[in-house]
Amino acid sequence: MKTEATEVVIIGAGPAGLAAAKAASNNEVVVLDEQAMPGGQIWRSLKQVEQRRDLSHFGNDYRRGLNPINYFLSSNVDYRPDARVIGVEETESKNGGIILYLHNGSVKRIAAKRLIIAVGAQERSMPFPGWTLPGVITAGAAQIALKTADLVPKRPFILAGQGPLFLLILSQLKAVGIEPDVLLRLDHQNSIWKAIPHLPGAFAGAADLAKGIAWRLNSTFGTKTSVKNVISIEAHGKNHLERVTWKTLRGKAGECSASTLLIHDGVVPNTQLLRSMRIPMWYDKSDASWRPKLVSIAGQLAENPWVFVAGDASGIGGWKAASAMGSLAGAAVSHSLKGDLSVNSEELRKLGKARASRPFLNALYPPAKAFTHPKDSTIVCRCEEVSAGEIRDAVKMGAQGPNQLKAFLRSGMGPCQGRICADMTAAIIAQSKGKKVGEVEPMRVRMPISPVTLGEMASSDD
Amino acid sequence: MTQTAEVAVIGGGMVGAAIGLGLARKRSEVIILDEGDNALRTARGNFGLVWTQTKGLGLQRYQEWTRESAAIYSDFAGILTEETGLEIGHEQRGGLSLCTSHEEFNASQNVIDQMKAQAGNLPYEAEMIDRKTIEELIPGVRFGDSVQAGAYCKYDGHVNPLKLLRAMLHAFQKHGGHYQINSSVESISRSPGNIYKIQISGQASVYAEKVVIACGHGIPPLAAQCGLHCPTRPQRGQVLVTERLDKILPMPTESMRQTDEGSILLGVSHEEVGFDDKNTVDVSNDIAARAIKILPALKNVNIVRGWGALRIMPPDGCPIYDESKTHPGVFMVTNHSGVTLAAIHSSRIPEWILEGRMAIGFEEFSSTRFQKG
Amino acid sequence: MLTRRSKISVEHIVNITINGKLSIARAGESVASAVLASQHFPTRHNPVSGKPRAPYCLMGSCFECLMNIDGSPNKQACLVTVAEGMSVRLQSNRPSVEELDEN
Repeated sequence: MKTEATEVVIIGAGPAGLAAAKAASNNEVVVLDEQAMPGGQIWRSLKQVEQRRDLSHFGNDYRRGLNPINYFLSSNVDYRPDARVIGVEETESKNGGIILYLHNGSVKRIAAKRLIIAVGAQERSMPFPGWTLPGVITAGAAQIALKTADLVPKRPFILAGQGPLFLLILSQLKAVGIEPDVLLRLDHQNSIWKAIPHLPGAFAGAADLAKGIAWRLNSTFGTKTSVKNVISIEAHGKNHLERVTWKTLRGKAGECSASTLLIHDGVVPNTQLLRSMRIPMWYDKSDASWRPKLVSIAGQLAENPWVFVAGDASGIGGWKAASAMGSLAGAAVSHSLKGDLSVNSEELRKLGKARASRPFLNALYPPAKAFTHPKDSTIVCRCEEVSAGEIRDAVKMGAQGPNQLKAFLRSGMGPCQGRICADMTAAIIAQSKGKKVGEVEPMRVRMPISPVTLGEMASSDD
Repeated sequence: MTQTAEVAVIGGGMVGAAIGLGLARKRSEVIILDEGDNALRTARGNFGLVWTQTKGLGLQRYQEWTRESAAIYSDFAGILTEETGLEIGHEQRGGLSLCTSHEEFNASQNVIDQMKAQAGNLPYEAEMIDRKTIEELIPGVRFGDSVQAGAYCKYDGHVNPLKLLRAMLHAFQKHGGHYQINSSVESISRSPGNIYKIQISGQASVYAEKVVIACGHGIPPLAAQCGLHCPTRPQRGQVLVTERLDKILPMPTESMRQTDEGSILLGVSHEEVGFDDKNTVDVSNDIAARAIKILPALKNVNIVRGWGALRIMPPDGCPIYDESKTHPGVFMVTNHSGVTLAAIHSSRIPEWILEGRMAIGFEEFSSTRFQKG
Repeated sequence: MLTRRSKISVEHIVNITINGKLSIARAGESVASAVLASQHFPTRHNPVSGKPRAPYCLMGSCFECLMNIDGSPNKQACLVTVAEGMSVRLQSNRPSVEELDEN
């Protein structure tokens, strides 16, 4: 197999990837993007939405992507869309490694001296009875459908969840004249008290806070039914979703017929590529997510100094923090290759400001009780239909961790390779063994991290 | 259970589980000590073949030993399923090695001739077959043009290795065996009263009259503590796994087999890379190319995952079974065919350990064979 | 579960077929959203349990959107943009090797 060579590879073209490409632009840079157009998730389909003249539906943060995307597309960076990274080899070297990706029907190799991983975030695992029924989708999915295809949820529709993105999708749907028939709030009742101590620190990000408060106020007006303190939720139906039932903290039960159920419980870093590279990770209790161990705020990895992780993939911080971090990573990479940069204090300041409200938000929105301790009968691994009860039984029978669990069950061995279930599976194992969630690391992942056909893997360009 | 076991088996992989099971069935008080989730578990990386056609070239005793294991495998599998209610995906209707070139054909023919000669009066039934026969054995599938011949042995077959391991551990516990996890063994030493003390990281020590060291890559340092020599080395093999497909392969080949769940496993590589169990794109490229050469229709089939696993390879590829002279009652069991030998490990090794009864020619498996000359 | 907010204007129409029948899609959308918008669901069945499934995340993580696209089975439809003349088939069974061999 031939191996191409370049100086810098950037994976991802969202806020962090775009900023990194700009900051590293006086080196040879190749940007690999699994999507067809730059923007990542937050600025998805921005150019098309602009064409459709629907920009106003999505709020100011969305519009802010126009400049970075236009700049990127008019720059002479080597941008390769529809390129899916399936692994990275020689990660332990100090001087660079080889990125493997699927592009134009075959697996390709590109050697790079520096790598910036900006693959963003994904939704937190949210298992509950009936979540695998057609009609149950994430809030992120609804947002993508709205941006890329101008699709809206079919009625009756229910929105359940908590957090900034939950409030954002609600306001975006309202902007197009759609409100949920029922709004189920999964926020913890007293989390505001735990969050208040973090409020003073959050004032550096006052603008963001104000925006969030505005969304929250907006959410309580106009929705037909809004239910607070929901602690459990179930989806029912035969071939697709037909009905949703729920219970509140006070024991009040409710139900509603439904065609669509949107759920959201925050986002977590997308760690699939990092795990396949055996990057050391740590569990951040403050936002209940696994993150790579970094040595600097520019995202340099502790044990693989040629690799940087920027943006939400390094830890959830929102798009502004992602942009600032991408700039810092791109600059750090440039500096290490060419020695031509002093630290950009403006970007440091932006990063600090963007992150200021995180502790407050994390304390306000810990993982929803509705999902953290799934019932025995609830499916956890969707691909292989493995339930929480089966996982708990396997632990009793001697499965010591998520990797050994595969000798007992097939959880994590299906097409998604643990993307949806690995974190929750590790958490259930920890709970069953009386350990803390952070003490059981999710299962190992291998190359190829996304499916490739045998033909694509076998193709040689010799 | 009391703190002193009759036998402590170190290692709960394919070898340790099979031996422990056999001991427990004989009503011995047994404990299996298993390391942990991140151990270099060769037992998680097996291809799953029950294979005799090429095993034992150079050591006739091994050729017989592996054939005996294959002969009792169906009973072994049947009893396991009866005892546990778990299906282990066992099929033994023959195995094929496909040749895609003249070189491969000559190499296969050569091995078969030598194995036949070595077998002498004992039966050995692998034979070279032509394409027509291959198409009769595996109907309904279009082979690539370069597949013109193969080697076929009617005793060979396959099993689901993860289900096998799980069933053996389950049956072991049902028969009263104790399975202790998170038990990384640090040392084996003598204790008063003809007992051995097994020191475990972070846990209370375990005491046993007899010890079986069967922990794969972890054997050499423990063996050395007990006057035993374990000259094995790691050898990497990589495997690709496809998505589930309709059943097309009724029997396994040496580099391709379809599991009871429908996925096709593709191999194989033999790499000397130390303790590196990563899978690589170079080897995956080779494996994929070979798979398509054999079955062109696989071109559009998705690889869902891949892995690398480290075989435990003795210098001549044949098992090592030894009892320590300086520490009588301490045994060592190691090999690279834990799946194929699971049946005979569960039946014949326990009688050696408990009663000192050795199969004929068993002493040939001792590691002293590496010190000759 | 999802429905079009408004008619697609002529210059944004992309013609595809779903299970052999003509369907109108919007330029730039994914095959998954085009299939959902045409009210085809469940879009597949889980190969282990046979239970009905449809896309969940629409961003490439959940693998529930597997479909046969232009003859290639088990493609993640949420990562494929619709193209004129594209042929999409919903799959309920595991691919048979004869089907694959025809390509």
